[in-house]
Amino acid sequence: MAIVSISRGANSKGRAVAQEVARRLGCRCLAREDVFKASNLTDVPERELIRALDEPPSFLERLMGGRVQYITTARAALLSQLTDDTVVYHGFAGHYFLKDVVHALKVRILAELSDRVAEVVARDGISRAEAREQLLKKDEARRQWALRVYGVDPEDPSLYDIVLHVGKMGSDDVAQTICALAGDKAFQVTPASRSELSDMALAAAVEIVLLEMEIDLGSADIKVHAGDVVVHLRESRRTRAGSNSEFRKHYVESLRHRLHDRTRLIPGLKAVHLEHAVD
Amino acid sequence: MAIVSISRGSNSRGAEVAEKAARLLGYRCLARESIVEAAGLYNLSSEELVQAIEHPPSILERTLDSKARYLTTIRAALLHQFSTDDVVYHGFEGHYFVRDIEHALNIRILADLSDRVAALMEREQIPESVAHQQLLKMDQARRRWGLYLYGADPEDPSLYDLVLHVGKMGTDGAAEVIFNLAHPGEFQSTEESRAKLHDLALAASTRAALMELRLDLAIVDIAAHAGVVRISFHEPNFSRTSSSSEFREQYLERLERRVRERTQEIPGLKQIKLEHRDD
Repeated sequence: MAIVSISRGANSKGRAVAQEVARRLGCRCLAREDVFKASNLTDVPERELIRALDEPPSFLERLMGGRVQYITTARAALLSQLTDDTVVYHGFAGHYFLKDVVHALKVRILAELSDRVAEVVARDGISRAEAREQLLKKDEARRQWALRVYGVDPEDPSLYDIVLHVGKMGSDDVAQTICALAGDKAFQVTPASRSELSDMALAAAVEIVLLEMEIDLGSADIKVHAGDVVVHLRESRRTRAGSNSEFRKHYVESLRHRLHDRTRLIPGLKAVHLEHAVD
Repeated sequence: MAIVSISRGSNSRGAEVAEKAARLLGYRCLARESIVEAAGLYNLSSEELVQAIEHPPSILERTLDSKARYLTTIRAALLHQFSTDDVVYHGFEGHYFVRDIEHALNIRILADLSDRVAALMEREQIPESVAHQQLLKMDQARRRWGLYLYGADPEDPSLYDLVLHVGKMGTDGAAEVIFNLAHPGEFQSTEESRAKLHDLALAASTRAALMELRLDLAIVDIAAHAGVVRISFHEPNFSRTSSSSEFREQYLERLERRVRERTQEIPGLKQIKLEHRDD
């Protein structure tokens, strides 16, 4: 079976489809909120995203505590949750974080705007015109969020393995199609792909530690294989500035100790090695 | 049974998917060339039609008459083929013409650009850079055509019931998805949906036949129902404002005779009703 990642617009029946797929596959259904709860990630409310449309990009950066921090934490939070071979996930940027996962089936759900409007009208008791305006604003806010944070347009169909329109098909047919495709050999988990995903989750967890140690992730390459982690750090200003080689050695040793100390409790991690350009 | 309409970029293996799906379903597989053949029925040369499809019209050609002629011919040819049911069509933008037919499954096939480039390189024995450029040009041309003829971008996923990316699932996987959807389920034709399609096909064939007459009148509407075709038109000025009622009568009689002669061979047509309107 596969990890099924479902991306959807607001009121596009995506949640209902995800829950139905999970029910049919007999697996967990993981929502955005579940991932946020399990991490220290700040859930940015939709109204703030909409507000961010009219504000400079720095507003969004401040809301999420910095783009790099946000992406790193979000990636680690999501990957740490994908411990089962089969899970259905629906929420933010699954297609982005799981694009290199071989057994991830990336799905996008679309719905007719008129149907989405009708749903909002029925739920909130507002006029059709108001509901339409709200939905279009939400759609644009989500698009801009994804573009600014992840650099991808969530409406680009090439990001997905399959895009399904619930308008004519209905949620049942959509769910059935996803389930059938999840069973396709192209999306089956293998020992190799399972191991790769574990390595990715481990790398993401180590990235969090590096951030906490105030190490610039741009200067770090992390390689993981079967639980063994090698972090290669390129020269930083601190080591370059210290002309005293003893100082530099001492600094790198202290980094090693701190890294070892902070990563020892990461599940699945066997050993961590720090290589530094100073070595 | 169903109609499956497959739209694809060039070298996206869409033809392969169509042939496999048709084989699984036991349906006919129709390619764009079928439309070109049908052009003979309406006295528009195959070269003119292929030219129209492959190249966006120049500014000089962008007259209402040219666009209307192309659209009319293509529409009539496609709907005639679709009205026989049980067909997988791939190529020209069939989905534009069957958007309102319940038993039509509209699909778009995507492939990675790198794979498309490789396919074109192998087929044409050209270098990568040339293949890359050619593909981007073809994609742009098709988009311009879609926007010009139908006011819609063929790459817009909301035009389709389903978008399938063959990168991971392959053409077998894609064909399997199509089979599972078209076989039983929402896209089966009913007596009502078949009748509706026959009506559309009949109206389109009638319009195409009248186009050849190059009648000097403005057709307001052509609608068909159960073999009866109603043609509403505005009478040309020279007839309407003629001081001689005899002249006017003779003109209208001659017109009706020409229309009946030209349309009598249209399959499924039982009766023609001409209505001239003064509004």
